[in-house]
Amino acid sequence: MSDSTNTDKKSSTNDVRPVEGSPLYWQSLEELKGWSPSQEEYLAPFDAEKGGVLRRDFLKLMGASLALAGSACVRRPVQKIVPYIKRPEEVIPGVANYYASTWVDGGEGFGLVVKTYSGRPVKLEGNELHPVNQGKLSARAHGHILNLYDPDRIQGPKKVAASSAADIGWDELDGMVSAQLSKGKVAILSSSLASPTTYSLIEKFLDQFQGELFLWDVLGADDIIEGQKASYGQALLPQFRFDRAQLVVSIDTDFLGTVISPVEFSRQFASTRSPGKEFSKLVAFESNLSLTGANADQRFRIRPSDQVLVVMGLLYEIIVKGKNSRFVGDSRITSLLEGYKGVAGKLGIKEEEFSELANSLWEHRGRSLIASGGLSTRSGNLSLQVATNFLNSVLENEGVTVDTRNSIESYQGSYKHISNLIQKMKSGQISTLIIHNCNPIYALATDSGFVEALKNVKLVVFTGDRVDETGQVAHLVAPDHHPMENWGDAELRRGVFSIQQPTIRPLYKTRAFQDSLMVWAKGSGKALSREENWHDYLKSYWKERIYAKYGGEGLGAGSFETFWNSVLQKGVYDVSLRESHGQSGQVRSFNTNSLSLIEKSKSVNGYELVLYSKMGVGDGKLANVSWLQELPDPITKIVWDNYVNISPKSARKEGLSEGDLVQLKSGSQSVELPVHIQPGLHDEVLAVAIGYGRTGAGQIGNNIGKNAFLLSRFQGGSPQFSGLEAQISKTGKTHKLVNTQGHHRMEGRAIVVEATNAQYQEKPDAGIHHHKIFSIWPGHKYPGHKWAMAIDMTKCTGCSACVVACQSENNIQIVGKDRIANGREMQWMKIDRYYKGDEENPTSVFQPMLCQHCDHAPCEAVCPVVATSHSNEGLNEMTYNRCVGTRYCANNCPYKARRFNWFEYSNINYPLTMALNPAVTTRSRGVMEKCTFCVQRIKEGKNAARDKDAPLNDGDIVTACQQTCPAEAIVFGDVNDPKSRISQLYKDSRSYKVLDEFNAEPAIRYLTKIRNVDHIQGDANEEGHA
Amino acid sequence: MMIKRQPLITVEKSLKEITDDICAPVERFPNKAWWCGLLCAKALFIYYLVAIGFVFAYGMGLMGTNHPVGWGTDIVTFVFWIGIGHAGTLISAILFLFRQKWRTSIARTAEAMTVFAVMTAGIFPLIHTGRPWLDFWLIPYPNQRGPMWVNFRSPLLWDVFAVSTYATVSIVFWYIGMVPDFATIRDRATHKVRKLIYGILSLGWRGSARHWSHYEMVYMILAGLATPLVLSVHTIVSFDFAVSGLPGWHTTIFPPYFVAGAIFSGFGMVVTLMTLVRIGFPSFKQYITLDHMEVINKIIMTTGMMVGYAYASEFFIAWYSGNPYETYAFVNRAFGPYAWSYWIMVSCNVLIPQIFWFKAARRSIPIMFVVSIFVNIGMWFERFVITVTSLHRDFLPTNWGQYAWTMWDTSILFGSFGMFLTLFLIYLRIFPAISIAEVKPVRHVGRDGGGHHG
Repeated sequence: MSDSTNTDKKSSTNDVRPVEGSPLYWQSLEELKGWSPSQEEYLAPFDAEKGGVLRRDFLKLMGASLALAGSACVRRPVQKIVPYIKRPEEVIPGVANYYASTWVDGGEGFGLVVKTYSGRPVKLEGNELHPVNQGKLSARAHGHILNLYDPDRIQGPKKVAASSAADIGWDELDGMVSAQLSKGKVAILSSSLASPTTYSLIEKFLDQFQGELFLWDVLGADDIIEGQKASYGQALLPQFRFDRAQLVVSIDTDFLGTVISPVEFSRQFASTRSPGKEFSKLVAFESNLSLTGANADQRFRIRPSDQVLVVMGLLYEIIVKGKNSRFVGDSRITSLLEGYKGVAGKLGIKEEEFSELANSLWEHRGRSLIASGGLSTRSGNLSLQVATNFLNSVLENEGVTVDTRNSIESYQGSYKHISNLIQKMKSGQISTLIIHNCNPIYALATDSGFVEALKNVKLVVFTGDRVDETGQVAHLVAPDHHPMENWGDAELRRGVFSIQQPTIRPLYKTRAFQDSLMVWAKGSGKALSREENWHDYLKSYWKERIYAKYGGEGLGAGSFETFWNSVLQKGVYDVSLRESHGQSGQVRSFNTNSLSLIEKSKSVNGYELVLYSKMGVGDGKLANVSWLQELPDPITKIVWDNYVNISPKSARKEGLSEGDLVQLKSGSQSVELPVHIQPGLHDEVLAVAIGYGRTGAGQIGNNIGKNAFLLSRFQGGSPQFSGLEAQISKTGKTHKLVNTQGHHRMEGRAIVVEATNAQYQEKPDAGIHHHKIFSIWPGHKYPGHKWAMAIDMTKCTGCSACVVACQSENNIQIVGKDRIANGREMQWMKIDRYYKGDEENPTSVFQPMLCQHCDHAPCEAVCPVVATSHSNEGLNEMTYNRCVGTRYCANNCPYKARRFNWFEYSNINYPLTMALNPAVTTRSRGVMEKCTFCVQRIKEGKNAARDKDAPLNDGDIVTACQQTCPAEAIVFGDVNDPKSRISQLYKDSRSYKVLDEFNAEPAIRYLTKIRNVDHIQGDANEEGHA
Repeated sequence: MMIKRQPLITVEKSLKEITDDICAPVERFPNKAWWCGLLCAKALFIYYLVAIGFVFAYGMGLMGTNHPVGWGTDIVTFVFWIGIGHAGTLISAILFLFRQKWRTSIARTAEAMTVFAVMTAGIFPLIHTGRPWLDFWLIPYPNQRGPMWVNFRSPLLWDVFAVSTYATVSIVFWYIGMVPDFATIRDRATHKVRKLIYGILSLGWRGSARHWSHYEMVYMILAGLATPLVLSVHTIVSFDFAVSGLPGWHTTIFPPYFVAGAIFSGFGMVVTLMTLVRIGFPSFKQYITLDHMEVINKIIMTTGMMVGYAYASEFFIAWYSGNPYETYAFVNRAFGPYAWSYWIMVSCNVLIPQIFWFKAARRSIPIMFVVSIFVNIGMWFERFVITVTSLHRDFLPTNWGQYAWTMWDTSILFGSFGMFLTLFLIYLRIFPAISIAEVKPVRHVGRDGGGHHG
């Protein structure tokens, strides 16, 4: 381990800042009083030309040198390092500074804490004070750090002609844009603008040029918003309160994985998953097997075209058959619902199961939630949304689990907007188009006509960070800063304002989009504001619009400067509880006229195609982030590809086997994709992930998989991604699909122990086989701390955020598809996914698997050179520079938690080296590595406690995986502390050790998976004990 | 009534004729067949070195080892060659102590085979590590790194001691046995340089009674030292597996099973090489007789059945123990994705040697040659089966995977034969391949008027 965290902090403690290097507190930039000019220059991130370059470079060099100095096992790192002559006050080499910021990605957004070393962000962590994510992050959010250091980012403005980009100066570009702008007919196309300040700036800009703003998100929620408008007259995206729901029915909606705000939803959902009387139930009706379906207690397979049927069928059962709800007397409704009699039969679901669900829903009225939304439900009309709203209203969920208070503000984009834009471009009404933060050329289906319409636009300015698909058809690329280099803000929920601080000086000659707007307006002789730059504009917007309105209550109401510093420090200003932001419990009345919008879904010949997005690559924007490409899909465990999911039965019928290339045809479009045989998929459904097949992403993301957007239908603003008619034909070729887990059954071994909620209530340790283990050795003594972990499998959803968090924290290198094919994945943490039951509709269980830090560690005994040893705090430590690489330890590990550096993986180039965490050694080739329980964090926590001369408290040390887990399924701590959470969980009757009988005495306890079902499918405990 | 012994040398020879016969290959200019053989072997050897060079330069990733199969071709082939090395010491030391006179004509070459096999094997633990340039860390010696000490609990460390001890004792034993013969070659040498080299090698041997007395005592002591090593080396090699906790490795039967297997494979290789030596040097047929080969074949069949018993016993224990992981490991061996390797192993090691129940087969050079090749193949697969099939599916099914065999595995496996054969062919030309001093006393065995040693 690097000892860099050992820097004596006492000598440098500054009175201004209470605690340094603690993730709970971080410094704002201006918090420092009396800073020297050199610091100001360091902190003013916007002026690339103005001096200070040397010092900045020096800081970078310093960071890189630190990383090298820390990595003793990299052989011969002969690099001279120079100490600071005059150290900037806030920078202590080897001690991280934390800055609050915000991350927004196409509607989804979080509060961040950016961990920086010597002015260099290395890791993103969730902001615990932020009400949306409460300290948690998604896998994609972690990947954002690599996006900052993406080597394929362009380093300055470009002029594009015939798809080739040439360097151009900002002055020249500004001149060209300003000249065109003054001719009018301006439009801006952007993804959702969560930032109210940017929104206001754009409005001012467009006012000046009589332009128009078009907002569009690939994975938007415009269907839900339109549905809300039709049903309740309010165009908003309500808060779905999964934490208040005892019974959730998901209609093809992967709310735990990819829809709207999965991190928040996962946290809320997990909070209802404490076994016992108040244990919630999740029922999923699904076409594709999604993360949500995999976590469901009860899962039904449906076709996408059945989605509306399910909801209407439930309504029929409740209103007509059950004669429940206030709509019983409404003959218009009952006659409409008569048409949905016997839906269960049509769906191939048992009649009694369906009515039981309907009854249960009615019993849980006001405490249930019907969730629908996301790509897989977008069939081109509002039927599903209206039906869902009606069912939620019938079930009296309005105002409880569907809460309009603090509605979600970050989803503003709409396909209607882009459809309008295309119309306007076609008719020549637009001559300047500024495309910001979106990639329409890639993501719009070919029948949208966007490309053709764009030809009528005289000047297309693209603000992206690379010459991607859209950049290639633009005329000018005016690269925006990376969000981590730029100021900004966001209103993610009504009344929840978060701030985005730059945490690094821009790496390249990029310019904030907002600054560009100001410069261009100025160039055409129009001033947008009295402020000279975006930072000042932002600050005065906050002063005039936010501080003035809300008075800064709760955040140092003294003066604006105190307020502002406080906001920067905390990262969020939450006034959501003010009455002006809606009232809780507000019940909107459902407009029954909207029921006429419900169309009977057309059945389709052949297969129904459903498109979905993945946890990692998502809409494809971050396709060049290798962590996300290499993140195993939580369900299929496949990496670096997209594919056609087909059910085992249909695969047999078509004579297909895994990896066969098929021609997938939908309408006039066809795509050649490999086949993946997916249990749990409906037999008449094919599912393909979007986000792949990029051609302008960069060297990592290009030509990985195929672009499934081609198969969608644009349909003038009501796009169809689901229920598309599709045919497949064998091509006779094959394509290698690579996964990190090739075996999916538990083989009757008691690895994941499951029990029903009833069994649990009867016998809390239900399902656990307690082995009688006898040892003549008393074991190690742990006089001080004894670190341990507990993982609750009832809460774990398998979302894999921990996998990427660990990768980011511990400098785990990616290895690529071919090496994973050879079984050389490097992730220290993996999520094991087992299927149980039949292949038609299996249940799934997730089990995070990592080094178990065994007390009787089998690896320690067999290493001939003592490179892996036991610490007196129970850690199984790996001494990289002592490791010779016999791999005996890995062979002897029953959990196979060790990873070997088969090649020199850590040999990466600038700027990717910037993302390395200097507190963690990079490993050279030939060296074994594995989870360390984040030993660097343990050391940091202990050092901080020692400096404060205070005992280490439970929760002072959190591992990277625990920190990010949205479900809070992971608990880490000192089991020798009787009051710690971990020592409580050790005693929990649900806790057990995996492979207990092997007697490795692992330090990780798993808590049994409790399901809200009557019977556990294919119960491992019955099949035979292990 | 005494059963008359078969003569150990088929043609009655004078002492000078014996010396001439055995020294001939050392003193004559080699023939074309030998040159062809050497060039081929050397080419393979060079290819081997190049392959090792690539693996050194780019990393272990070139080989097929992965997660979960952390050990592969290198370890498999290491155990294979160590096993081959067993027959030599067994013949020269154990049979010496048991006064088995028939051993004399094959002992030298069998010992040479041992030495070369151990040398070939010794390369593998060195090249299989992730950072081979740090292999010396496995040797406990006072150092300035703390001092950092080795882990005496690790079977890999025991292995280092076992193999290096075995190699040392084998080489010394082999060399001491050759001293009188070196002196003979020195005395017959016509060239000055030749006289000098063999003079140095013969350590001033003059053949006095005092020399012979000391020599025989040393030889006996070394034989006594080498004998336990025959059992210990492979016992300790088996500990690499048996001491771990992996189902399929964690087995108490491993030490005797490995020793039996090693003797089996060693004798297989002896047959392969001896048939080749008989073809290459026809005059040696009078010393390395069909009687010798028959005895070896009997040992092959016997040890083959012992190995077969071990296979069966492993299955029985897997079932009898009631341990589901172990049961699975063995069922998976026989019927899983690597079933082919298991059945190659069983056919080559247990079934094919059964042909030696027939005397005609035991005494047929073509049959025994073919069988010996199968034994070699079978024994390589035995180690493959143990190493790979146990690793590839262990406790948690999510970790299961397959070995990712690459061309580098092939190169290193076959390249090692290049090294072995190069050494062996050179040996045949510069060292007396049959012990002159030991053959002379047994020339009367089985003949009237002689055989008082009998």
